[in-house]
Amino acid sequence: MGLIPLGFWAASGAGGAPTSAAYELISTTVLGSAAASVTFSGLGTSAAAYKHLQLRYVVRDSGANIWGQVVVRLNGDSGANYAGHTLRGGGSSVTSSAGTSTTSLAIATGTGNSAPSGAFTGGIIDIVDAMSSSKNKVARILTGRATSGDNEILLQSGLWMNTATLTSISLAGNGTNLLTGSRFSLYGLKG
Amino acid sequence: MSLTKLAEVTVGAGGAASIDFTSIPGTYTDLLVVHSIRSNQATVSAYATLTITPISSTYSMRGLYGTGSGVGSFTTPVNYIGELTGANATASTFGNGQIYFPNYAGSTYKSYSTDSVGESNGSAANQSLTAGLWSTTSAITGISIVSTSGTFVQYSSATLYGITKGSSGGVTVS
Amino acid sequence: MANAMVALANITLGSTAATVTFSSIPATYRDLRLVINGTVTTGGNIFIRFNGDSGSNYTYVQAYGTGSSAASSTSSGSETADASGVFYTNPGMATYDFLDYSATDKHKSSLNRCSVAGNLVIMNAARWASTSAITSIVVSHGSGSYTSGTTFSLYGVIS
Repeated sequence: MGLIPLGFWAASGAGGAPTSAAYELISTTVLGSAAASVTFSGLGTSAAAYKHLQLRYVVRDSGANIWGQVVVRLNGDSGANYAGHTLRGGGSSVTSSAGTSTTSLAIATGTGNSAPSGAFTGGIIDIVDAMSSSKNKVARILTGRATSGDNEILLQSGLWMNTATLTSISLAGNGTNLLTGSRFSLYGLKG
Repeated sequence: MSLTKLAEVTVGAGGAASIDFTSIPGTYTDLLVVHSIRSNQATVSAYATLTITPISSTYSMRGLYGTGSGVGSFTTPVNYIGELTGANATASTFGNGQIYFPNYAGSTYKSYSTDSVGESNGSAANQSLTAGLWSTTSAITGISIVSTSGTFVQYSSATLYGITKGSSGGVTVS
Repeated sequence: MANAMVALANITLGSTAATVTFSSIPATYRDLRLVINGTVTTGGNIFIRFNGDSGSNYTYVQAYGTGSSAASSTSSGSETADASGVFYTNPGMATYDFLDYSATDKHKSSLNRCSVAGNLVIMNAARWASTSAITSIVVSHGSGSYTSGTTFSLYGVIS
């Protein structure tokens, strides 16, 4: 497949001089006690310099299961303004599922309080073009839980049907508390 | 400083059949492309292919995908690099993905890895992971993300980063 | 503001090697990222062992594509090393994110992507059942050795 001649149908990469320190920490929260949720707020200011956002986390919740759930919402919106899809490996088979008109960006997998002591679930959430006011917000999530039973690895996607500038990201247990030691770090990538 | 932004492209009002990064310097260790693209192809889920310069051939690929209901694995198109949204996806919704090229300027064949998702408020939307190989010993000097049908719409974007290996903090390796 | 990703150490093999060891890893960062690119002499699992722990303290779950089918498998703490990656004689790459590696109040979670275009594409989650901070990482292989030219790069992520 040949390249389209520049200047006609192609969009070419420019952007001036390279920008070093393009990946920066915005904020970290490590829970010293159980909490219902963690919120990164004021993103209109703190994240204004970035084009993409990445959230890295490890989480354990108070639910009475090996598995747990982390509910992600944007700008405090708890209405049915989200959708999501999942590619999941459960240890014996691979499945895919969908959620439409949901009330959260994603329900990422976590670790519940019946899992072995010390076990947490890790995840990385990427929101590309997070600060665009021309696009709905789409997240890509890689997460997985490897306990002694009920293990899973997921590539998830989430859609918030709103082009508003991102002002906050909240993560909460799904009817549970996030436990001590759970940690959430927000990073920005410059564009 | 290990991650540097090299270039950014945002598609204008006229649309574009490809997003091109050219004249990539060989001074970094790895490359990372982060993309958010929507196509005007009349479908919910679209996809893009990759063209690497200086040589536009000799690709191979292995992928794993989900559709929101089904799953599978695939090996074609050989230069497949990720999910986009199409014109039939929820309005103002673009795909989300990344492409990682380790040792892009080295003298061995070039492996690359992609993770990407499309989205739409419907039962169908694709997620995929791919393993790619450009079977050429030349350094990568250009990367193009190419539409397979139709064009990329306004606000589609891609950002190119360079990652530099190094040593610090007293960590030793042997 | 400082770059949140800091290059810590790297090696390009000048000859075939059975193992690569990163040691004296400080507790300064929040996460570690390991990037491996190259080939091995015989296809099989990448083994990763932390702090010299050769006990049955590793668990992983993976989903993978063979090119014709999608499949998933898991271990349940019976491994003596994290075996959540596979390398072959065909060129490939693997990235590992070791999250909260320096924490002493939790087991160590990791996420892995392994990509070998001639063989498999894989996503993994793994856990090392230890609350010790990771101070060393030994990368070996279950069936062969890493070939000359294979690279290993370690980065720290600030938090």
